[in-house]
Amino acid sequence: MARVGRILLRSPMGVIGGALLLLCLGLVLFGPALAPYDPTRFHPAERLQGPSGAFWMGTDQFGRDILSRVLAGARATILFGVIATALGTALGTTIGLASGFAGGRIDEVVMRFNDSLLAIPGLLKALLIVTVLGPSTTNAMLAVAIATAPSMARIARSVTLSVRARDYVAAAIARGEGAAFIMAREMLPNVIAPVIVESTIRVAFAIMTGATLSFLGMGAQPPASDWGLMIAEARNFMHRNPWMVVWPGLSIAMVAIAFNLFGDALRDALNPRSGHGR
Amino acid sequence: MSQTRFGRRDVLKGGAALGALAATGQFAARGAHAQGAAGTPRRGGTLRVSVSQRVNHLNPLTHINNPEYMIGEMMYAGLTRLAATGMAPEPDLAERWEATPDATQWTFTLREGLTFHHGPAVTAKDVVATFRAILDPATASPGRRNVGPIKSVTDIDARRVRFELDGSFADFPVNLAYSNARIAPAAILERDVKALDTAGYGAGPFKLARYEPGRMVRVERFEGYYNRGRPYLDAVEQVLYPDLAAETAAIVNAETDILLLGQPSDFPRLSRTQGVVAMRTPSGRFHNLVLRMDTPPFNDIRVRRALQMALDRQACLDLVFEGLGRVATASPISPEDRFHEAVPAPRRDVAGARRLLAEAGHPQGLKIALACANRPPTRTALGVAIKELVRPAGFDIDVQTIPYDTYIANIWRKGNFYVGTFNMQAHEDAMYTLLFTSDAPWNDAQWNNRRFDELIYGARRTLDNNRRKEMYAEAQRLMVSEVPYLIPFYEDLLSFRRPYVQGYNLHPRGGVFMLENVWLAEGAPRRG
Amino acid sequence: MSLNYLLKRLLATLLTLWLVSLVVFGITQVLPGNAAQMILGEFATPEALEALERRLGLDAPVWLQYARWAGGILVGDWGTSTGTSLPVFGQVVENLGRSMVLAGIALFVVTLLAVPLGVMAAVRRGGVVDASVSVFSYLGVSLPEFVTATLLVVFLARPEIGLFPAGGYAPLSAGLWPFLSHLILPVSALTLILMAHISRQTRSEMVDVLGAEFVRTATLKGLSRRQVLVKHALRNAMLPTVTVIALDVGYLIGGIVVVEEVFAFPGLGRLLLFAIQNRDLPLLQGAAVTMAGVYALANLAADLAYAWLDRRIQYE
Repeated sequence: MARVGRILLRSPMGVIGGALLLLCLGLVLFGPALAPYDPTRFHPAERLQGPSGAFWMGTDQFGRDILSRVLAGARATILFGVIATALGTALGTTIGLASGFAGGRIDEVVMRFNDSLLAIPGLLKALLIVTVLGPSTTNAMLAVAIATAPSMARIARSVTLSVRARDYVAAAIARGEGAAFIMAREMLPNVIAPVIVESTIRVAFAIMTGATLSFLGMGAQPPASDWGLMIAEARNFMHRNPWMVVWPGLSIAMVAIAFNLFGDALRDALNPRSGHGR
Repeated sequence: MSQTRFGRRDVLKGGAALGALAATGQFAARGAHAQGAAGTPRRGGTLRVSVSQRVNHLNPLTHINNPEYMIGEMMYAGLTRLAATGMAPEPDLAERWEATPDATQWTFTLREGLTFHHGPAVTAKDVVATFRAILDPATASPGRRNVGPIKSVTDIDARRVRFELDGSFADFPVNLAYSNARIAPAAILERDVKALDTAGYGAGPFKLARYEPGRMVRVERFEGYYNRGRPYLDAVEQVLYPDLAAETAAIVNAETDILLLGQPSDFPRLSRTQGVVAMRTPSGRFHNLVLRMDTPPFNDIRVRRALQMALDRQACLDLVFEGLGRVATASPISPEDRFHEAVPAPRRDVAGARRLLAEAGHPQGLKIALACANRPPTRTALGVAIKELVRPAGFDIDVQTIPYDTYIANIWRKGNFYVGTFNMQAHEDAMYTLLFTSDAPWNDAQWNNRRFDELIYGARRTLDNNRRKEMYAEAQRLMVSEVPYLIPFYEDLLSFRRPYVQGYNLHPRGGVFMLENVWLAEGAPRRG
Repeated sequence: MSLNYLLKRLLATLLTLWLVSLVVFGITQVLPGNAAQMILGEFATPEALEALERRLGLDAPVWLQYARWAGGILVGDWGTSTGTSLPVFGQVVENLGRSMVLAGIALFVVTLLAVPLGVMAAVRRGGVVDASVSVFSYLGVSLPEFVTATLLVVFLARPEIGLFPAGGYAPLSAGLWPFLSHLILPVSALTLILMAHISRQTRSEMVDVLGAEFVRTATLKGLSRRQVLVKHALRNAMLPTVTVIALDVGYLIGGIVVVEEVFAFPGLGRLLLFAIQNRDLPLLQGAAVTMAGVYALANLAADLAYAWLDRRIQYE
């Protein structure tokens, strides 16, 4: 672990990514507290204004302070990505582990089905799931989690297959240990490292997909200060106050860059041979 | 039998003294200026109009939305219609009408030589068949109540029809201008009603040329139209743009000539866009908060009044509708209406509202969910605005945006707190009996107030306009004090046209378009 | 490339498509709300609703509905859109065509720009081009399409400027400039995102190849740098890049939904969103299956192209 940390610190990607991640963490913890105004408070006399001394990022169609809304939205947006990815990772890893461990027909069928899910483009999948569940932040989160699961299942399964042949697993089976025990104690530890690397990069995907769903009206609903929703609401007013689009857009980019950089650096540190991201 | 006679053209033009029954001249809406078109009208050309809601079928008896009304109005004609700029009735297929002094029996006389697009003459039998169909519950015409308290309808001869009413009703000719009251041939109605869905059998200014469901309707000039010289246009195409962004892009790019129903957030921007003329006219159309009165918490009048007191109406108007309208009270009767009573809206008093709420048993404030359908987007915008504006008074409103279909299935007429939206009606009686009397079909606030019902049905039967005015005034005061709805503002109607489109006016009623008066000036693009 | 491999891949693709059809159909079966209600609107009577439900076949058992639908898909009868009353197949084909124009031009422009950039970055690692490519690609990968697209509208399609139309579509028959002017902004939005992907991918493949044994051997043999680059390195780096471009079709499909929405471009993505918003089940099924189908075919094409380009590859 210490070695990984050292390698991370040596790569500029890791340093910048790490610093940005720390900034994100700060935003999650203190963002709402830093907001100069209540993010839902109207200033009807100062609607649709550009940046000023009073409103550093300007105001929206209700005269709400954009800076306060961006800060308030940070926690929701970042946690959305992290939780959705965690859920999807847990789901996918479980499926991959179980399928790989079971092997044979079951594995064949499960993976066939899994592959056909993979054959639906990510956003389309998330859209279809949200269509079924109904538009809300929670449902968007579930949709992104479900959309994430198949690729995590693939990774977990391939690691499981390679581990399954090892002696200690065979020994555990010989000892008569239960399947759940073997999967949790003997196999899971091997699966975790590659899964974590993959999921770090996936957080960026989750955040962007979540924001996209909100933008399409299928995620967070007004008056939430969700970044994707802020841009969607800004569309009717963007020619009068372009800042309504710019700030939340930059914020999404910043957070996504943080996770992308850090994820790539982490992957390089753990596996120096694979030098490229996705 | 002594009969009061009114409804001639000269009367409508001049507004001469009409006796007890006919103060129709006062209907003219104040805000709607019939902008004199530059130059003399030219004949010819194809007008392309964009709409954002689909036309489900062509049967005018069961039309329900504005794009359908537009089609119905072009293909069909009624006995009467509303004047181009106001709510006064003017002759359409009927050239004149008479009523008994008690206004319970009405006789309408058809013009001479009227024909349907497919050839046959329009006769009194067709009128009778049409109204019987509208009144038949099996037809499911939304106009069943709106056409007035008709007890029976009979033909006297080929050109005259008699209506017996259930009590006196002075505004009956206005009701006959209702968008569903369009005359269709008896032969079709009695034998093959379904045919009306996809083909045209009207006597209106335009005949059907092409109908592609969900995409477009094309109509072409009917040479046998009774109003000689109209329409000016060769053809009108109504094209569906299912979403606003595409519809807006189309008028900016001159792919369409008129955008029929504009949204307020687009208005400031399109006003500044080259080649687009932004139009607005005051109307009584409104968004309302339904406060359902037979369930908590709004069964307590103090809660309703507290909400009304807490609301900043001007802020609502500015934030949600770009200030394109006028602040309202709880009453659906706007200054455009003939018997509008300027009931002062309660002054905004946040502390007072908080006290009232505490008295009603909510000293810690009241938490409640407000359902807003996602279409049109102004519903949610209003919800968000109200949430914030009434918060200081202790209301903690949870705005829930829901898909339109979920709203229709689960909330509308069922929920206790949601945002609705309605067109202006042609007169007070139409509005009240549609939404507020105990037996109104869409009585969604469940007000069920005996005194109010008495006033509305009393006013309907009263011929003395001063007395009616008093009754309607009391009804309006009653609404403001009882608050079954919260109506923050009356909206202006918005529309956009290209500069070469002439003779197009916005009618405050909302579903009246009169495209027979439209013509294309120099610079109009040639369209197939 | 063996016939065996070809058949295997083809079969796998068909199986995938079948499973996708099951998934899509299953999803639309559990949708809340009612298509009939949606068509008739808020003032519909119960009788009218019932009649329409019967007409739409919504009262048949689920398996029968699937059998009818899947059978119809195979023979080109994709049902009738409940939102527009038009045959689904025609609409999907028409909109798919427009989306293909958009995607095709975007892919073409991207390949033209991104591959050389990636190569240049790899050849001069640490240089200006390399640095800009990596900064740019991180930005590109991290900006969701709807942000990029909306920013383009904000800055380039202001109505006061009138530089480009803010949205919509003009067919080629309306003239070359109207046609192109409607495409420029959506294509730019798609290009910016794909550029990031593909230039980055080309760069890393190229870096790998340049470090490989045979390139070093070629250099030692005294071939000029140019020869080495073009004859050996680039050709080998093209293999994975072709795959990436094909795989990016999946990415492109997600992007196209959003970009078409922002620019009101009447393509397949918009059709899908329209279907979702209007609970138009036949249209939703048709559009979703088509999208998944295009993606599956692109994957198949990528595999086959790869196999064809690199005969050395061992199959299973």
